[in-house]
Amino acid sequence: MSNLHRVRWFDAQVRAGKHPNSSRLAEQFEISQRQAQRDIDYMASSLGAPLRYVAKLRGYAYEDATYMLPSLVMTEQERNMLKFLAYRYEQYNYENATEMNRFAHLLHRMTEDGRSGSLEKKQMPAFGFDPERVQSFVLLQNAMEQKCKSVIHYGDAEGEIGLVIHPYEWIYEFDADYLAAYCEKSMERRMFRLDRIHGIAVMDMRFDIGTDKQAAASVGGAGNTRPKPFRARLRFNPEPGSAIWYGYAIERIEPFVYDIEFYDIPLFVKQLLCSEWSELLSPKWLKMKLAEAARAVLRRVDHE
Amino acid sequence: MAAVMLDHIRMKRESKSFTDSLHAVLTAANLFDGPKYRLSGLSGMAFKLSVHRKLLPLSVTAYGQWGDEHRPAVDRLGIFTQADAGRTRHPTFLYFQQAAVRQVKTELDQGRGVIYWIPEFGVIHGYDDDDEVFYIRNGWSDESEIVLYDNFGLNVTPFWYVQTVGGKVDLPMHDQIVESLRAAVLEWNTPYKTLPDREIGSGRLAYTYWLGALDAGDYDEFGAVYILQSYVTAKREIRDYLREAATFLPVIGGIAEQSTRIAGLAEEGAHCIDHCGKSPVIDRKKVAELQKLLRQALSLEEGFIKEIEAFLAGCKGPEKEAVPRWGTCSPR
Repeated sequence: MSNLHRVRWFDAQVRAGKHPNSSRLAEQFEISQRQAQRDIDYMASSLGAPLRYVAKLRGYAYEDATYMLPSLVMTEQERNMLKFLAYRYEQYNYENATEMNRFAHLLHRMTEDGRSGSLEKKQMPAFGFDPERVQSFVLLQNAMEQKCKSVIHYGDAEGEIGLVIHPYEWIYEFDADYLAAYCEKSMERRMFRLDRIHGIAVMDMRFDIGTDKQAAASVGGAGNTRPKPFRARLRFNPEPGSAIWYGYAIERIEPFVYDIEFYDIPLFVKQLLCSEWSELLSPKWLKMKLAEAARAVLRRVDHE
Repeated sequence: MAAVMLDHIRMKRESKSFTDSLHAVLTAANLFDGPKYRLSGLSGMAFKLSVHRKLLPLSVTAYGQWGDEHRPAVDRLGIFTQADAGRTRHPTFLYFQQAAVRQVKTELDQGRGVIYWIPEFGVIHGYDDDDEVFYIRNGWSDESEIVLYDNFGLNVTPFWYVQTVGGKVDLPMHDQIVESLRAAVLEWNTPYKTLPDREIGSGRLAYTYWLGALDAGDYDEFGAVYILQSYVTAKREIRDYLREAATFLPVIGGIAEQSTRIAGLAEEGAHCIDHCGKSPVIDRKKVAELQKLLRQALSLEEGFIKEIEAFLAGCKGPEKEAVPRWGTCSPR
């Protein structure tokens, strides 16, 4: 917000009844008159300032003397938090998704600073706005974008250790945010819980994902011990229009029949209760849970 | 494809999660018939107390290496038990996982539930081969949790644990009570049960860690409440158990009385919990009061254990009636 100081000056001049105009603004800050006029327009259109040009005095006044200039000071940390919020809301795929996405767009606009952001990844990290975590997120996000190796101090139940990692992507699972990264020590791709990362130093050394994969393949390991998702099979009529159904990836098995993967059972049951589908084919336990949830709703209705 | 659902297995969280699970499994299998406090006392589980320096909630289940804690606990009841556990990062985890899945299904086929680390401990009470899932009771909800065979053992902690129970041998009640009291002494006198980690203190040392954390003030709020609540429950269980045990063994009447006083202090301590907020916390204004009660309880418990030791010194037989099947005893 590079014009902030000019806006504040202009606001103060108007309040003082000095009826400033674009020429005086340009003169005060040694900018072009056109730029000065843009600042005034910005005040009127974006900041909602009730500016009125008084021809007789050849300057501006406020039509509404109670108007207050919005607080425009935004620290770098606040910008990062807003940026992250924008990212979260943009990825939001559940209830009121349209409104959330519109809100994300608004937040994006508020944090626009000319830098290219590549936060538009598929996963949705979700964590509270603990300043340390936001800072960790920003540092690792930058390292991710630049493909820079990083040193992290990682603490779990067994203590804290320093590790050199190659950050790949954010993954949100089981109510926690994970950084998927290649670990030089174990020579494999590992998941690091964001809230257990304490202290990050981004190194001036680049990594290559292809080389990492080769290294990991040469070591082998216990196999993939990441939990597998649940899988529901549903019949739709009409068929869904895209490969995403309310945020869930769906796979067409046969005409009208799709498989949907999910991790969070209550959330998925809730989705089934409020969306269109023809038949839940499997699994049995999900039918039971859905029936129980429906009965609970009916019981509430009966009470009413 | 097979499926089993043991709906008669009901679990309710009241005590340590392992005790709750064990009680649910044993009562459903007709291997134990009695209140939970009796099971908790006879197994020695009630005497386990461990506290992390920061009062982390894990204190409540970090009372030792589970293999060395849970197997002897069930042994004391004269009940056959098997357990398997490990780290999910272990290279052969997937093989152990498959073996455990087969074993759990076999147990369920025979009508017995299985104790499983969710976390905390819960009871597997059914399976369905069509969907390849287990049904698990966590003790908090009537609804079962669902775990895919492929996800068996995978959880937010880096380890897995499963324990089964089987046949029963009738042990004389006198011997069981004596053995449980030996367990109480052992628990009290063992300061570190999760070595090499020394951040968790057990028995007598648990009080020191607890008081230290309350002094420092930078403890885990949730953990502080959870530990205190678990402590109160355990002391009530010990009180009820020993009162009942004293009817079999009147000579331990004095010990039972001591436990009543300790339970009373514990219950007073529970009043230091502030329930007004979103979640209960230790009322910071009552920390000094809680510390005072804990110091009194520590002092009383020293006397309580001394009295048990005096009683045990007069008991005939080997040092341990129920010799561990393996592990801490050497082959001879």
